[in-house]
Amino acid sequence: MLDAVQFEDRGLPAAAIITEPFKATCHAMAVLNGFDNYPLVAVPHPVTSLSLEQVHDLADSITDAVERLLIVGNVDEVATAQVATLATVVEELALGLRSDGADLTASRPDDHSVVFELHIPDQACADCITPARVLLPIFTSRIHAALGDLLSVTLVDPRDDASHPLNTQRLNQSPEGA
Amino acid sequence: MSIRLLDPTVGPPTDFKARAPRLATLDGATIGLVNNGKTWGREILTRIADNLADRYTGINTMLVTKETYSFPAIPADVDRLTNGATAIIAAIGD
Repeated sequence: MLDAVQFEDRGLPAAAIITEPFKATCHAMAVLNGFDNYPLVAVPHPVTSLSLEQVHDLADSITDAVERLLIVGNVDEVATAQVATLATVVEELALGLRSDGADLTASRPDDHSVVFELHIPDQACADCITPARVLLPIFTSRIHAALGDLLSVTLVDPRDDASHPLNTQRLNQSPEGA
Repeated sequence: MSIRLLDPTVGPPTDFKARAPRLATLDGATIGLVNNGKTWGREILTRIADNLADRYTGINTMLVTKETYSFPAIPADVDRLTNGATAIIAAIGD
């Protein structure tokens, strides 16, 4: 934050990226250094617990806002709201799945879609995990609320793949496979 | 007897400064990336720079990693960026 305003003072347009709990502090710091209403790009806290892929998603989601700060000079409410980020939505949705031994990741193959991937280790109780037909509307609703309703959302579920080791293992455990 | 009150507090400035002029485009820009050393700061900065390089032509970057996030960048790095960069991205205030 201080670095950004220091360079503003030296004639260089700057964009400062902070985490949301520090917004008030950073605004105060900017004021003390002579910059009122200094626009910032605020991302959800914490960042340290993210994976590298999630960090990349986060950076991708704020690139527009950073670009605007350097060229236009302001980050509008839409740009900051979209910093809900795919990473934070995935983390939120994954919490419940992890309690059943599964996990969830997501990717953005393009600007118009989100692809979730459900991970169910062989040892996990696959039947304990909510079916995809129930999960997908939940994921879609959450993505639309956080990132916009023009995004298409798909879910890759290993239980749908007959060749997946998970399903092979289940077949071998059935009476027919014994 | 008169009493003289000395106020040690410093109030906020009342005359604020204008920010530096924005760039018309990032084509040909040299973007100074100021990494304060916090976890994932470097990765966030370089990813954003890569994304901007996909959108604009001729972008260069200068990465500076601060020795400590508690203090501003050292004067030598500040001078280097001031003289060599045309825009700054700083991360991450965490």
